[in-house]
Amino acid sequence: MNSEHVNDSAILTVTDLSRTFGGVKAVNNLSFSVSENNIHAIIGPNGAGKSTLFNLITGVITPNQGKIQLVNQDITSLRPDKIAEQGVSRTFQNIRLFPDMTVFETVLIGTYLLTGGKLLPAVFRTKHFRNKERQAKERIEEILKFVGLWGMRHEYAAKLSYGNQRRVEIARALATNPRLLLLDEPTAGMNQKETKELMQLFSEVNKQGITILIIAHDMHLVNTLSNQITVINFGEKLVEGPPEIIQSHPAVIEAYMGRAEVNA
Amino acid sequence: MGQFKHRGFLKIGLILAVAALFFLPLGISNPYVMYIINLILIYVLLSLGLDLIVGYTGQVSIGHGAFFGIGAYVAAILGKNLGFSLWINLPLSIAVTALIGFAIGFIGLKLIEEYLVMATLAFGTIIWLVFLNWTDLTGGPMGISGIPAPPTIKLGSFEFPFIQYHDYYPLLLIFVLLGILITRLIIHSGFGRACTAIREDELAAQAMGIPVFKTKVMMFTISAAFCGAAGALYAHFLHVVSPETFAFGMSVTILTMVMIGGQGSIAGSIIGASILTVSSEVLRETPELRMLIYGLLIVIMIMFFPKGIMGLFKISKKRLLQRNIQAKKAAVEKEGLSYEQ
Repeated sequence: MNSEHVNDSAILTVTDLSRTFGGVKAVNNLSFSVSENNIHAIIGPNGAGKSTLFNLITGVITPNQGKIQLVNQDITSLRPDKIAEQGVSRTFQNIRLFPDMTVFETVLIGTYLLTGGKLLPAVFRTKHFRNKERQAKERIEEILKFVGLWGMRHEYAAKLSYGNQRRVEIARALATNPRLLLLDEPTAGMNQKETKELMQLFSEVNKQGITILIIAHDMHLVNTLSNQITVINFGEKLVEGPPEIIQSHPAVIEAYMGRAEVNA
Repeated sequence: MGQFKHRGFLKIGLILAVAALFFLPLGISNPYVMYIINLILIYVLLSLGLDLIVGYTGQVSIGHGAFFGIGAYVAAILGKNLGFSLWINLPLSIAVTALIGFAIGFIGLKLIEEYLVMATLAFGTIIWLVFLNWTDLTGGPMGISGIPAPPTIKLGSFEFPFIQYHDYYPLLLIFVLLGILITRLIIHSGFGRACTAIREDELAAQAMGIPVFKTKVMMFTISAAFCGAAGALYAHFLHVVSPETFAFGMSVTILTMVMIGGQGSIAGSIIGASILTVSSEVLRETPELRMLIYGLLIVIMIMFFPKGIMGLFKISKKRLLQRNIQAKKAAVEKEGLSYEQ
């Protein structure tokens, strides 16, 4: 493994990362880095370890070895909430909303890092507390308008269409004010129209200066959207490069395209 | 969470209704009825407290009767032996129960749900045994009697002594209103929202930067403190505490109040406490039957009305979500795409 490959503009650097489940090497000696402001895609067949990788980066599970750095800070094995605090936010492969909340309430949860969870200021409704609450609500308005859900803010998130539920999840992630946004198969199960609209949204998010790391199956999406692709299989890095290179790489075609039906 | 259009009207109406509540004793001549109403107020405080952790945070405790008992015994011991008044004992009871609540929460909340229930059950039983057997301090099975009434409140030339049940009512009402206010302030804050997020989806909550364990422990502590306050008020109101009041049955009773009224709802706590206090007075002669009925009620509520009486006013959104997701899944599978495990 040539882990000495240094990326100066990297926002996220993963070095020699490994995680086993029983005898299965879900992620095996994986190294890669994500450059600031990129849309970086992770692709690979089912079971390649993509979601495990996301769970490792976000601290949901801890690695057996290796290092994860956010810019210059070591975030390996930090608690998920601490990693979120450092500016890493995510969506989940299977949409995880809060069942009993409206769109507005759901996204408001994402402002926790802004408002904080202090008790006494809440009970005494201090000026600082009220300011933060107001800022939080303003931020939600801005985000909901940005993702196009402002008109649905009082609806229960769970009642929305699948595509809009994903938007709620993205809005909630954006409310944490992330530097790096991790999207785990955000368009899985979407129809073509929903996929197209979401892709549009992702590039707009990216234009706001948020780096995106995205797991996807849809090759069309990956090729149009991302400017860097890392292909993994059996938990290991297969190849890495811009879409033009990856598309025609024989190893990729064999491991990924040759096996799964590709919806181009 | 309701979005009322006529908020102004609602506010004025609410203020008038609350003001009217203070004049309630004028219409009641029977001291027994007044006693029941006072008891309801204490139970409302208990339900509010338990609801904070069970309803709003989703962590079930069946040991909160012990916090009620600790609050009551702290006030009883200090009041009886040192002659401290309610005004000193109340904050001390709150402090002691908060401290113990913090310790129990810190240990218990590391466990997953089912084990938390067991841990709180064990805690409740241990505390009850302490009340029963530490005779030197707690009076053993006899309990403690002769706890002093709160000192007469003097406002200029007006005097409010605490002699009959009617006199306690405004005091208890003020504390209940304070409890409701604090509950509202807490749930409509970053901290309160974090608790609700934890109840709904711990993993998603944590991904939003919410420190799950710390938040749970904090809420458990507040919840215990509410019950401690109720305990101190109870001791000074009844002038007697005895261990059987704070046995396992008390924890179940408070939980039943929360479940029947509706979890995560202030109105639910009030309704639940009222119904259960009245029904347990009716069933006073047959305590065994009472526990049987409560047990059945909890099972029925969980099975058919998980959101309690207040939940009947709302549609079950959770079920809607499940249905929605399943429909989507089915649709996706039909199209021959993989949904991913």
